[in-house]
Amino acid sequence: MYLNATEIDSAVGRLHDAYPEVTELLTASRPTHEGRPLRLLRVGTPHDGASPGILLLGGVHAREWVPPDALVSLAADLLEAWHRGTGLGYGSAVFTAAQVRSVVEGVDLFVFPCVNPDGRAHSQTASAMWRKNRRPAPPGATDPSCAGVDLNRNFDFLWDHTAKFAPDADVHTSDRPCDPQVYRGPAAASEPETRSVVEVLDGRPGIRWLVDVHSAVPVILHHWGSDRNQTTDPDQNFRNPGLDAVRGRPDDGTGEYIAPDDLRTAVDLAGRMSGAVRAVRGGEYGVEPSYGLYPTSGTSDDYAYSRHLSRPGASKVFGWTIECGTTFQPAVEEAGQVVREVCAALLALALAVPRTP
Amino acid sequence: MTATGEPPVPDVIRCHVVAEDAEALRRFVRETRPDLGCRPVARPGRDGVATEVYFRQDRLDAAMAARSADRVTVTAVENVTENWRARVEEVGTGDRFATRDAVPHGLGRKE
Repeated sequence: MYLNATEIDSAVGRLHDAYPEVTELLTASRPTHEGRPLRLLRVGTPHDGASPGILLLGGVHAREWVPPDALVSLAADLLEAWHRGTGLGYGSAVFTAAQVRSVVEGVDLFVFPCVNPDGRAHSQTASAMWRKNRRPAPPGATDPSCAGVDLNRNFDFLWDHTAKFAPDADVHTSDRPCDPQVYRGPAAASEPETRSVVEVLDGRPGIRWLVDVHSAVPVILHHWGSDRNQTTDPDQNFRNPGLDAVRGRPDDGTGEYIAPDDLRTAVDLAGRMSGAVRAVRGGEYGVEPSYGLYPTSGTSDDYAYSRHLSRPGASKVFGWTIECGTTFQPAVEEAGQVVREVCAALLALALAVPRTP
Repeated sequence: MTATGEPPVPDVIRCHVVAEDAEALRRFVRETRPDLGCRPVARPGRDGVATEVYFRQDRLDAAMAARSADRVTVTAVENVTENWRARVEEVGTGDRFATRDAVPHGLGRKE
């Protein structure tokens, strides 16, 4: 059975109750619009802050039902295996007891299984394709689509697409509150759910890696999503206002700069995740830059990586989006297989990241 | 009306769209404005460039008749709403972890 929004929150609490010596329960400073708490679990032995941190997000888009279940499953698996001194198996992907111990005792996993519990509750009871959160509709609006903000267009990265992109770039976001899918919100980070992610990144500078688990393609995306990547001209970047009139156009000779070493790291680690997915049951999650048919703005992965470039002193946080499975709401048996793929991918990442922050 | 008092929404259909190139795909999307899913990912394939989009049932015929549709092939692959009606039966009810001794277990084999 899929987890409902209440169960996800309870599951996080129960895991903390059962394994208090290796978990920490974190609660965002503000609840959702409908009053639900936003809680995440840090999995990892106590330490002096020296372990590298990985922030795992799920359920940002309400209709994508598998990712929250996958993250709860991962946390539960790791804690139980560590406690019992066993390894973990997902299909043909096998992780030894030593590898489980290495993750739990050497990495801080911040597991935020359901960033958008209001939206999940709505999608699981009323509206199959509901994607946004449940911000109340503007006064006077009667169309049900006028409620909600797309949280993955609400982060403070090139958020104002009308000012920051070419007019004909067709950025995959919207400034219209009644857009049923990709309304960016009234301001960058306007939503409590978005701010809860920002709070974690601000408060835990040891976090160097972020994976936002979505569905469905399947594919593993790395930054940037705002324009095509280029590694030769550092001046072509998201902070350069001179590019605002042309940013996001396909094949126009400009692109978003990414340092060659960073691109190599992003692709290499995505490849590790892709390999682990393949080991489960032969599935192919390709590795691609986020910029595809259209540019995006305000996404969690690009925001996380942009912070070290736009905020002095901020840690460098590599970001990926896993688009798991092939449908938003697969039958439970297939959902279980996708959960195993996601767990294997994230464990492979946790084993591959450098242990020095 | 639905349980939440909202008017019923027509069923949503997932469609596989293949265009001869990315620009033809963009033209079709610009004209028909489908839901592009989580991220607008397009893949090169044997017959061109492909992506998956979502149309409301009442807008699918119009999309297939769009001027830009002559350079794309649209194939309906799933009634998403119908699937959802079945999946809702597979969502937990109540709270399976309400009591302190109800600890979640993952799907991994402990071995």
